[in-house]
Amino acid sequence: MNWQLVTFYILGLVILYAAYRVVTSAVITHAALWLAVALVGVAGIYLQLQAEFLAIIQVLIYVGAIVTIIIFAIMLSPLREIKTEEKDRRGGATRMGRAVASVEWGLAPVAAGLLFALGMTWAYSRQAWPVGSVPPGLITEPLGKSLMTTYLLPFEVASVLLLVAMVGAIVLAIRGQK
Amino acid sequence: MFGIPEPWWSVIRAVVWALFIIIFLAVNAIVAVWLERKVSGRIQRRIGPQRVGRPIGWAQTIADVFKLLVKEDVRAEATDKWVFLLAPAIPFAAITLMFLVVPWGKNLIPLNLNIGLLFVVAVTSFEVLGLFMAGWGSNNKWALLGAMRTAAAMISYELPMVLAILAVGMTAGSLNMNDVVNAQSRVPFILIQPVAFLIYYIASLAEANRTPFDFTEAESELVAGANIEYSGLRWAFFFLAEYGSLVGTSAIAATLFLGGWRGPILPGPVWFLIKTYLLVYVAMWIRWTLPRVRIDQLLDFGWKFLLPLALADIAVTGIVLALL
Amino acid sequence: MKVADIGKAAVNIAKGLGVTFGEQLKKPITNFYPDTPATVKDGYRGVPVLVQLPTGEFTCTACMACVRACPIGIIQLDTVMVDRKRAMDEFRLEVGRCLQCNLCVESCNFDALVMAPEFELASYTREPLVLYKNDLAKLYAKYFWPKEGEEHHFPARVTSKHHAPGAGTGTPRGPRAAKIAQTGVTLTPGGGGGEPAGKTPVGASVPAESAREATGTTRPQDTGAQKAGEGA
Ligand code: SF4
Ligand code: SF4
Repeated sequence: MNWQLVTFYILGLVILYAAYRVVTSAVITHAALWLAVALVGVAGIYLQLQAEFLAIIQVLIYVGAIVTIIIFAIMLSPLREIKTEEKDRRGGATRMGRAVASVEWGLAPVAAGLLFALGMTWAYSRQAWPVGSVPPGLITEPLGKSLMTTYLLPFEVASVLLLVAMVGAIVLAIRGQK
Repeated sequence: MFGIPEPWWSVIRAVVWALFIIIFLAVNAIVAVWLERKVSGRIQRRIGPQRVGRPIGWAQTIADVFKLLVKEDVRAEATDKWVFLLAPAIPFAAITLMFLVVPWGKNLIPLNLNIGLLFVVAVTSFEVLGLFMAGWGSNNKWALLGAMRTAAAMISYELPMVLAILAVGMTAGSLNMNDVVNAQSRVPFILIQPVAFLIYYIASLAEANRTPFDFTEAESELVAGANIEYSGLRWAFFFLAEYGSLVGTSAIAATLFLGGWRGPILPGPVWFLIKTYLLVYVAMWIRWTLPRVRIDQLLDFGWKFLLPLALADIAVTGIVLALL
Repeated sequence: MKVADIGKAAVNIAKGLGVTFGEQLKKPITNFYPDTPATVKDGYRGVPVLVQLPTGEFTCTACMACVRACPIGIIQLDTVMVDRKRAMDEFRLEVGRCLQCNLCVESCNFDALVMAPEFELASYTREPLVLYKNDLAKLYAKYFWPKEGEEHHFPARVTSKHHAPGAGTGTPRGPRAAKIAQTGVTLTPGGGGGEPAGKTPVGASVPAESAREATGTTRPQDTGAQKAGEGA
């Protein structure tokens, strides 16, 4: 029995379930917390691929920063909105939750996730991606080198994109203040 | 070794290290609380605890532990059950993970990760998640306020902290904790990177929720912060995590800036503990000297002063490294 | 936030840290109270106690000034007639409610009531906090009776007027007190005359108001105060 495969399936199930809960949770904070679980699961898959650097960056950026920002945004949003959500929960589900939980909408993410998992499994079992060609743990240096040489242009474009988004956010915030 | 096949040997090694770290954190909480009481006493010209465990009061915190163990585990009706129940485990787990990459001596490191520095930063970000879960799950306004302050503070001190750690990584030429310690065999990095040390230390005070940045649990405003609704053992886990994060950030600072376990005559672990607890003492000394700042003051300070300073430090480090 | 401000703050923080570090090097001022006896400062007000001479006699003249002076009326006094003169029979002080205001001591014209620096009166019930004349005399003896080979030295009456140390020291005033002071008989504290301590039934003691009416005492202090009030 291939233990790596078993771990992979367990992780995959956790990720899929967490992702499902993200879109169906009636309480928005629960959605954020399930998102954190899903992201940590993805980091686990990176770890399995011996991409420690990616795994840690995944945790650092997504759990450490993104989820925290989401939580922050939830807590800064007016209480009224959160309250309405809770009232809806008592009556059953939110409009969004009801829609997603209904059969056709609920199956779509699950099906997409299953497809993704199947593809990953296929790739993994075929060893189609040469994940083992880099000595384990030494991924940081080649990664940094290729980012600064081969992929310099995409890297810079991505940075500019983020910068634009940041400037845009500031502009929106200032306009909202007036 | 000892006739045990290799895979099992590494399992045993992992279990032993895990037990060691957890026991260390538990003992640390006892020692650190005792130290805190003594230091605060001396600063106020008192002598601190002395009756339980005469003459220095060494048994006072042990007695407190027993008191905590027999307390009732209360959960209010209106709490968010699973979020509330799971929250205390997360900060403690984060601190335990942090110690995975801290070297105690030559070849005495639980997990020799190549990117140990990043690992430290990544796992500490879990802590705020646990505090947020506690704050949300408690369904208590003070707890939620405390959690919100924690999140707000975290996004402002985390960035300068990472950049300060990065400056160390640049100087050492590696993100591996062992390499960082080895790079300090002649000069500790506090002399080469004093600015980075200051930034890291200030950020670590905020990370460990210590005065002057203890607004996340400000007794006089929020009663106790995110862990206000907890009692008994669950509360004890928050407490362990709090003192664990104090000693954890001090241990990281000692490793990154004070040369870790390196030192003459005494064996490595002893030097490591001496340096770590020296920094713990400094944190206590600062706590009993400075009043609490406001939350917006930390945000201002983090974004408008520490962050530019850290960026400038990195730029200077890069230029100097390129010229050398 | 200006950079200059941060520089100033850094200097001030360093100063503060210096102060707190210096404090750590100093000797703690902790008083190991139950292990080593605690000391109180001069003029500490603990319990108003009755002066009892070594002869066993009280210098109290039963003038009732203290009974009237006490703002919460916790002093009660029984009188008897001795040689057609009023004398104190039993004195009752509910020390648990005492404010330590010193008014009774200041009002006593015969220095028969002084403040003893007693502070270990804690108890689980209220009864031990009601002190009778012999209890008060015992406390007086505890603090003011001479040690072996010392002369009897009357305590300072600490008043707002004479707050200097030593002011008011001397033999109790009044003819009876002077007479008694000359007879140098020694007795055990609290053993002088009357019933044993604490045995007087509460009902037997005359409450302050009725005692005043029964004895028909004039109120010299009150009238004096009124006159002063009119003059002002
Ligand atoms: S000290 Fe004040 S309160 Fe106490 S008995 Fe004397 S007059 Fe009354
Ligand atoms: S004022 Fe002095 S003399 Fe008069 S009754 Fe009170 S204690 Fe006795």
